[in-house]
Amino acid sequence: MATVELKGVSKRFGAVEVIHSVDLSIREGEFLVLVGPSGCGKSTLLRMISGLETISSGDLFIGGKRVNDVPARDRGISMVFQSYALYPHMTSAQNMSFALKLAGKSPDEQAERIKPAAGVLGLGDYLDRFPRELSGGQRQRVAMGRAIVREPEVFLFDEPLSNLDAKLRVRMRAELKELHQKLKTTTVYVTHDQIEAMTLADRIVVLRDGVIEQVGAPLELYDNPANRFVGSFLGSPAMNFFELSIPDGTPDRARFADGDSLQLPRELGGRSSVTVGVRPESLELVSEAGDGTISAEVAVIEPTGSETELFLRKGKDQIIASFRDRIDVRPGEIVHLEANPAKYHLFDTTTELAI
Amino acid sequence: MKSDTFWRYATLAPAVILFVLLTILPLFNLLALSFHDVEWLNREAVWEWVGGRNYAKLPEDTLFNAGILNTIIFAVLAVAFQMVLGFWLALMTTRVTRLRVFYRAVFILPILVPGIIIGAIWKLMYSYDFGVINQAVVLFGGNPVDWLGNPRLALMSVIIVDVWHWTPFCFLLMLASLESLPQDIFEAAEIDGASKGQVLRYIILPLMMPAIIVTFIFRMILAFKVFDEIYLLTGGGPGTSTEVISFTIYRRFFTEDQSGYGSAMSLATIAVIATMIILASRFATKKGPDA
Repeated sequence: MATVELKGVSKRFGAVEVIHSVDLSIREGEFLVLVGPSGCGKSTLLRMISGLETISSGDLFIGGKRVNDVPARDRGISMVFQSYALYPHMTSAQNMSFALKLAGKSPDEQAERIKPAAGVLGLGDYLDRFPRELSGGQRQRVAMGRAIVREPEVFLFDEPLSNLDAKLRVRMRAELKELHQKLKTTTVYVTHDQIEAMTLADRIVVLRDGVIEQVGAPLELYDNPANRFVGSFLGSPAMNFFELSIPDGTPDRARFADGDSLQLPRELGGRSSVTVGVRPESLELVSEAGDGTISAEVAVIEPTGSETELFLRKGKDQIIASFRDRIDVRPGEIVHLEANPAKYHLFDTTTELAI
Repeated sequence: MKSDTFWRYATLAPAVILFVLLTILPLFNLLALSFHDVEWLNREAVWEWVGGRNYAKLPEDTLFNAGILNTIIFAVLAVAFQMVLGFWLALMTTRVTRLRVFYRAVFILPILVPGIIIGAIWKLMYSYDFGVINQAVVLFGGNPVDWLGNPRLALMSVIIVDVWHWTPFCFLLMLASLESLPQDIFEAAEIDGASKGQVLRYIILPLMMPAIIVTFIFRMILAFKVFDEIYLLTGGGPGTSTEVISFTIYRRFFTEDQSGYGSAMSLATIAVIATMIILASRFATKKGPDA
């Protein structure tokens, strides 16, 4: 277990800077998830920590030691790749023990070291199989086994579950979490899947365009997004945003273009507009239009079994609402929605920062 | 289902017939010929059955023995150098990104030149009196060397030409194989702590083994059939020092008009090549990870 610390870390490819002076402190034994849309620099950041990518400027510390110029193999890290990157000509056991073999460990010692890892991952029966003879989930486990066997200070995961089907992904996610609870090794995990981020992380780092947008515990980010981007990124279905005007003289009300208005949780004096974010599950159906209700036309109904999702249209805005109950509405119908003002997220319309 | 089977064979038939006509029949003809002596009487070929006599004569034929021995030396040495050089060049150029197309074009050039022209070019370069190689030797203070006329050097000189000619072939196949290897495993190996030498030994070589074996088999077959370069460079001489088997067969079959004996020699050569291929492919299936 070790801490990982990034101080002003940047990455440039030629003239293009893709990571802009990132400061981040990862605690011992923490499960930290880097999340963000494609191209946000999360994988690059992970590869810089691993040593596969050089650091253009700034300092990287692992276990308190500056490792900018330390080769990947000496950083005390293990990495699990999106493609698993298993050696195709080696059996599971050989894949897992390759690092030990390179380190000059005897065959007996290699076998001794892979045994517990194989046990933890349920790979005992597959040790003599080649990667091509394994299913996606088994390959994933071998890749994790290879990482565990090295007994690293830090685990690095680069979207390790994205090649698995949905069902297996859920199972492997749980296994990963259990594994971390057992080993308690500092882990940096990259994903673009916000559900993975929410379920696995002790803390989430939301990245956009090479800049950290917010760092915090999953529910903290979910409940108090620092800006509109974080609000929109975490949560599925995504948060609804309404750009509303604040009429003169009523600083606690925000108005839609069609006249509907919302009661704000507090007065916003000196502002003429506000972006109100409402999570789909915060919306409730009410039978009649009234003060603080939103009227919208039902476009699509998506029953998922456990939930019903409504896609609605209100002028130019699209609204998504999700309900635990089964509801009886039809496309084209006008329905009325309401939310507790305490559940509103307020953002500045221009800067998009939370207010 | 029945008509399905019928059509399967029916559509396959033209290709099979063509294959039999062009490949199998001549081979059978050659086999039949090898048990006969052919005499020409009144413009007609008269086949005289001689049983296994043509085969029995082979071990005593000094030209055949020299031809087989030289061909094996030639093929093994030339192909070994071509494989190593081709592999090394592929390793070097796969990392080059600047002028990549240019380098590759230059490396591939020799393969485009016909063997007979290569023979002519190198004969000029090897010339004792005015060849560029001897000019260089003299420039550095040495004495001119009779590259093609010295029995000790002639075979080596011919091998050098073949290496020059065919290394690009090995380079191309190796490069294609090398570049098709998944890149992520190299990163995994880097994290696992493998040095460059260890990556070569434990990752690149085992994964490329099928391609290496295929290239080796191709090259061995072609090297056993070498003719044009040697015909122009040395004509098999001096003495029998560059006599190769295709040359011996040519002499016996056509120049001396011993078609029965020449056929026996051809089949014996095919047997040697086939044995080598079978051995090599056995090795390939044993060692190759995905073969």
